[in-house]
Amino acid sequence: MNKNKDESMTVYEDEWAFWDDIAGRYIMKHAGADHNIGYVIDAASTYADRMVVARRKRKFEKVPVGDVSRIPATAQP
Amino acid sequence: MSLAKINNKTFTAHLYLDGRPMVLNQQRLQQALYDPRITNGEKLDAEVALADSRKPSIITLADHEDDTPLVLKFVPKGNEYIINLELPGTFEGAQLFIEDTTENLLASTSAPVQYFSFRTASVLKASLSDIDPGPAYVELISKPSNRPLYRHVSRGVNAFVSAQPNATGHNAFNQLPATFVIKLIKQPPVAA
Repeated sequence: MNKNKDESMTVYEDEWAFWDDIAGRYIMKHAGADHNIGYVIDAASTYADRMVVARRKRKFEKVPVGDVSRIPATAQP
Repeated sequence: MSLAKINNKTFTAHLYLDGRPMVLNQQRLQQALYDPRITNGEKLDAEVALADSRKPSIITLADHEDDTPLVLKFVPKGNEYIINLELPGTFEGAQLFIEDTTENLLASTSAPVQYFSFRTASVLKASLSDIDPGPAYVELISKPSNRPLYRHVSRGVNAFVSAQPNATGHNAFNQLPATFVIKLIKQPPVAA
């Protein structure tokens, strides 16, 4: 994993929404007039990239047969 | 309990730690390369490690709990065991050994014979009969140093070492030995 500031990994189309969500939330929390914008953007991108990579490491399976769906109330429809 | 324990049965088993199967690093790296969404950095790292002469032989943990575990064959010798890999390919018939300088647990087809024993919570020198009823927690002990195996994570890769991996020298940071789950591979019963 490239830990430099200029990340250049490929994000697939079904991962964009997730990437945007992480980056957007990070910026909402940390951006301010007294901050260096470059650092905030670099950090937001790094968090988003690394979360995408971490997410790829998990396997995605259907709900086990005999169990019910457990989508959290806070999840987007 | 009888004192004279018959301990001459070879058995095969899988080992798990934290729910993840123990595998050969070669298996882990090959598995990683099958992932279609691997980043280029990860891909190059895996390719470099696979081409290395030592790195593929490290005994490690699989990246995912669903990965195929390594089949280990325990060949008894008194109260101790030689542990062989049952894996086709370059490591066919390889055995586990502790590397001299790093104390790392590796697999090799050419290393000198090395023995291991294992202990459960109640039995210091356990044998097949102690783990036969079902999966059990065990610690692996390397011979002749008589030290247990510890888990050591270096650069994101799990390895096992037969020396205390606490490099700080402060005993508050001493690690506990790795407690594996051993799961026997049941073989069809042999007629007595």
